[in-house]
Amino acid sequence: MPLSNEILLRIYRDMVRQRALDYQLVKGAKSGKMSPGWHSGLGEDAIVAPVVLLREDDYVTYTHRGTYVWIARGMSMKELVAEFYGKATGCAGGYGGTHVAKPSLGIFGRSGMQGGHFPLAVGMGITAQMRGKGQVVMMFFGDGCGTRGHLHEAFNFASVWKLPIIWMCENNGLSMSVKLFKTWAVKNIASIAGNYAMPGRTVDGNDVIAVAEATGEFIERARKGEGPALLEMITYRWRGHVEGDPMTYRTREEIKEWQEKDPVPRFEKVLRDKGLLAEEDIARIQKEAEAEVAEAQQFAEESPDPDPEKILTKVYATSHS
Amino acid sequence: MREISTVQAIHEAIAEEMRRDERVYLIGEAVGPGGTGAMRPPTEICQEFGERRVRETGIIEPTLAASSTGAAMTGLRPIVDFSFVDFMFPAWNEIYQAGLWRAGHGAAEDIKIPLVYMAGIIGYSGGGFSHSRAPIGNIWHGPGLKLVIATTPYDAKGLLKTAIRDDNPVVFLVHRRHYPVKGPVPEEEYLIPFGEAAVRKEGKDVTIVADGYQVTLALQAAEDLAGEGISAEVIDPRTLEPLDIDTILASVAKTGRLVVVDEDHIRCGPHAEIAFQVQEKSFKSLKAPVQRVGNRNMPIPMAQVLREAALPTKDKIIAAVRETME
Repeated sequence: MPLSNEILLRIYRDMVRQRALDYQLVKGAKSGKMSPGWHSGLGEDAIVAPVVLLREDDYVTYTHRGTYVWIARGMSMKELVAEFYGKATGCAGGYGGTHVAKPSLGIFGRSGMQGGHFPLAVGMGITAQMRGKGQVVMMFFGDGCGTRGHLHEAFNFASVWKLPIIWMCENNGLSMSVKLFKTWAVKNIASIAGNYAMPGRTVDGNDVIAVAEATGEFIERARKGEGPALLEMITYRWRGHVEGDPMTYRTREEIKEWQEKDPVPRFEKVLRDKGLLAEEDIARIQKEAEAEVAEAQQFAEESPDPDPEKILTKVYATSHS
Repeated sequence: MREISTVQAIHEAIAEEMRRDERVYLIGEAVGPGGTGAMRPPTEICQEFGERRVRETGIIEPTLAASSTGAAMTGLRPIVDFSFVDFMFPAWNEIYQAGLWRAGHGAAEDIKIPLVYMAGIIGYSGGGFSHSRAPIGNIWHGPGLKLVIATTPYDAKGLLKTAIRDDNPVVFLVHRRHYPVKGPVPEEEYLIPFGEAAVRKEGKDVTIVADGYQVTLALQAAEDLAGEGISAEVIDPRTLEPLDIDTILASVAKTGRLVVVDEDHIRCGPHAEIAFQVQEKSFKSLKAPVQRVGNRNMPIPMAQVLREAALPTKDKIIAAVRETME
């Protein structure tokens, strides 16, 4: 799948936008006014790229660091920030918080039991396969939840049934505070793909082009009915597992080292070298993103609280087929 | 009217709904032709719908439950055959999650989870502590789930069809002792709405509320009690969620006495919920304390004399009724 200039610029813009949103949520978590426990994904921003490559009718699951998925799928910052502030105007009416849902954009929510999305994605893959319109499922997971048994069940049956699923491993080397060598018996997670009779590849997860090219191939295969694939993206999160994490498990030097591999300026350079981006474009895109965040923040603060009288009406659907 | 078994009634319901709606599919361990699943449909059904719609799996309970949630919210209507209800335990998180998902996401864009988790209760069969359980209370406890326990072929077909068409996750249970039992089932289509209890036997002295196989035991007890001059009314709720409390209250208003029988543990069991609702809504109609008959809060032993000591029996129901008459 060739990466058009338009796609490359969209990836860049969404990286900047999702980063601005993530910073805002970091601030919000500190303010105490927002739902507690924001899991920042700063530093893993290149993961916007695979999501941008999806078709409108594809399905995608996200992790607790989900800004890149929400923004790249086209959710508005307003409905996201309002959700985090528990407002009626949030995408889940203030019920979900970090459990963001937007079914019309192929985002069906999040299980807080990490790894719960492996089997959910299998079901979405069954839908895509039965419908036969070439839809795919993009399922994101970290190296942390990849150690759950759910991975095995899902990888195995997705391959048995040749479901159109791209398993996207965001390997940031940490399961909360526990390092990869303590949680995985293999060095490269993608190396297990062969055991499930599917292709697997490890890429530099901070290299947008590498991530996008590998994903593009896997999407194409899946659309053609050739089955699932596993892409491992080696990356790093700058902030703690959750805001307030004292991060005693790593050094400042280690963080600094990875901040020098920041995917955003790295991708900027690629675009500048291609003549797609000038200094003034970078400044403008950054300014627009900041304005969008500020507007969303104001919208959230001014939005009404949800109506407690209605809570029981949400539990059951009243319809039937 | 023709008579068919409960299992045949279930197969008819599945086949009819799969013909009616191509979004419906059946998934489970050994549900395919030649499979060993207890409620496995006959080979003709497997052949009619093919491997994608009768999707046979290995041992993957969490994935059975959660993949069905994923498929349901993206537009399909799965029926999951867990075979025995004990096999819901490895998938407990995922089954609960199906019920939590809609309200947990604020019913965003009216997100729906239309699926059926089907299983048999196999108590009394000597399977030991892990193949005999009746976690009816556990299921009823889960928000967002509906709970059906069918006790006749007629009910099994009509309630299962309603379950498949419901836009919520429905747990559909049948006791294995009822699988081969035959009863009248019309050829023409019918549905049984949820939340309507059935009065299986009318009486005037005591109300016995029983579900699943306990309905059979309660009816046997009622017959013996009639010999002693005690007239028992037996009510089968048919669905616990939603619960038809009005039919139970009307009966207790008439009899003034209540015995609740369920195969689950007495501690925090369905008995307690039904008894509480009756005292809350109709305290003054009670002439005696409510009695409960259920599993005595213990792992079910294998030997027949032991398991009958642990589980409800006809004699224990009779004893409980006598207790209310004193």
